[in-house]
Amino acid sequence: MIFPLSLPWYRAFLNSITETKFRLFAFSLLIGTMIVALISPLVIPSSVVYLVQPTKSLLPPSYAHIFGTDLYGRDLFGLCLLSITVDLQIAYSVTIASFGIGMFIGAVAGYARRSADEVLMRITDVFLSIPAFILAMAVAVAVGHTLFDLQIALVVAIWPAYARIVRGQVLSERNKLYIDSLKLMNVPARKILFSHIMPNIIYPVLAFLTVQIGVTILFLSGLTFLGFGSGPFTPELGRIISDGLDNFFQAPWIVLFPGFVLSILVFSFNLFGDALRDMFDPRLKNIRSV
Amino acid sequence: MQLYRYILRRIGIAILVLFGVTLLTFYLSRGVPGVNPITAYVTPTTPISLYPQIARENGLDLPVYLQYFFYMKDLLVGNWGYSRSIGLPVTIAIENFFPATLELTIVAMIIAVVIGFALGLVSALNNGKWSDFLSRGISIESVSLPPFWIGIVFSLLFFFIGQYGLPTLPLDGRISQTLLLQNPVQPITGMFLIDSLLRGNIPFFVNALLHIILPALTLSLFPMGLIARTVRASVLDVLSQDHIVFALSKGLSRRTLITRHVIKNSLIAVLTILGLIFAVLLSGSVLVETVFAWPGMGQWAATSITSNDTAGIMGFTIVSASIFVFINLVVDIAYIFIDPRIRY
Repeated sequence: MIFPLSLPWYRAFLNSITETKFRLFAFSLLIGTMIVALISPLVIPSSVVYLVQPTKSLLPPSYAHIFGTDLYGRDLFGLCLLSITVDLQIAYSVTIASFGIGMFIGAVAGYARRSADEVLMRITDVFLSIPAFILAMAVAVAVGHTLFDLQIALVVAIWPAYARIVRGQVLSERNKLYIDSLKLMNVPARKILFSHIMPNIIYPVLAFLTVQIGVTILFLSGLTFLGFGSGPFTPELGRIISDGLDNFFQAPWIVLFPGFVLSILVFSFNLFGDALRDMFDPRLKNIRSV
Repeated sequence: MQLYRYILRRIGIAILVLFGVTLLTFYLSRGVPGVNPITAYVTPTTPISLYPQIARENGLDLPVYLQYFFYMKDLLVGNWGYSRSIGLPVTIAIENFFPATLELTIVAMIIAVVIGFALGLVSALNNGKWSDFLSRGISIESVSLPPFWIGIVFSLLFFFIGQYGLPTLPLDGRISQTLLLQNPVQPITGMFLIDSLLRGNIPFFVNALLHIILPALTLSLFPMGLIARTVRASVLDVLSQDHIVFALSKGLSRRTLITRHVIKNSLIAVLTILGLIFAVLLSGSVLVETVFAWPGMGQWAATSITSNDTAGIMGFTIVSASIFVFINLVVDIAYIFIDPRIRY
């Protein structure tokens, strides 16, 4: 997508979004998820999480409880909606932190001369060669057992992916003609990198980042599913699923619905990321149908 | 000559990276202030007064860099330590668990490549039509499903199918216990599917195959979506190039075009993400093996990490990182021979 200078960026963005039905659907799904995440803590009382009602234990889905109730008699629908907010908050903060670290390291490595690139990328390689989920588990054990510690673990596991992507983009951008002319004008390297190269590579990186938010949510729920991080009274989707494991043959809904919500959440980010990538990829403009 | 220098340099870097991996993992399990490494060596009933003695006997009172030095010295002579969480020496544990995970990942990889490739190809060749949206939807959905949840859903589904007396699939383990006792297969590779075929034990093979279907299918979903996306992007890239237009205007048939030009190029694209796919499979195996009680590396990793078993964590990460680094090395070198444009 190329933004025409005559239009403000948000108008150009909206024009491009409404170009195909696929993009429009992806965009509305994502916005819908975000609205749910914003509203649910205002609408749903936090007593849903703490109130234990043994008489209502494991009720099947009904009008009063759309998703049914769990072992403690808590309303699963409210619990799931509150969890979306918690999961998204964590995913956002992890993404911002790991993108910040990854972008800085990747950009410097991609623009700097050989030795700095070599050192930074070898460090990144070390982190990349341990399977990310296992690295996150190892760090989670080392740093502690709160949700905040879990975020540190996720950042450590996820930043190398950003560093890799940003470096690749900077490498392909740095040899273009306008960079040479900037160098000839004696613009300092720091300024070339952060005010000229970065704005030009930000869109493909944004598409990657959107998909990566989905991956972060999957990692987070996987960790809490294995028992990392939070106690039983934290509204978090992976945690709810693992709590339901003991009873899921009698009451399948306590596992089915939270997982369904979780996959919709991740799906909305992945779908939008895919749509973004199409929008920003100029090569895809002139595909012929075979 | 240049080529040999490039390969030597890559091998050197690979060794350096592996060294870094041991450093990072060892620091995480021993050096972080919040972790007391002694927890792996004591039981809840051990009197606290014995702690200093236990620490001294196992070298835990030494500075971390010395502990690391001694660990590496042992590692290089083949003494990988004792994995306390499962009560086995690390080398024996790897021998037992690695074939199970390798078998699972290979089957998952085959499923993922076949279906993912088909999805990506269909999607790209029908760019913009409904079959494109459908296969894109499937591939995006498959990377959105939490592997542990879809494993549970499969278990639930086949549990209820079994309840109605219909033929069902086994839900846990690698093999039926009774078959393992009555009709065992002498291990050759440790992979049940291959061993039973080599020994000609067909009932064992069928049983192992039935056991591997659900875990492998669950594990294959994420890489399947990755492969479908990669294939779609690379096919679209090839189709947009001028030599395709030329081939079409020359009157080349659609089939020749796809088999000669398109598939070959997208296979190379899949090859480049092979290392990534392997890392994804290993990450996923932790969750999938937990859900399906598959006795492999993933389950061992989860147990040793949660019980702070340094030797186990180290053993596991060194093996998986070595494989990851090795695959990437082979792919990079293979690339030189496949793609004539790359010259070193």
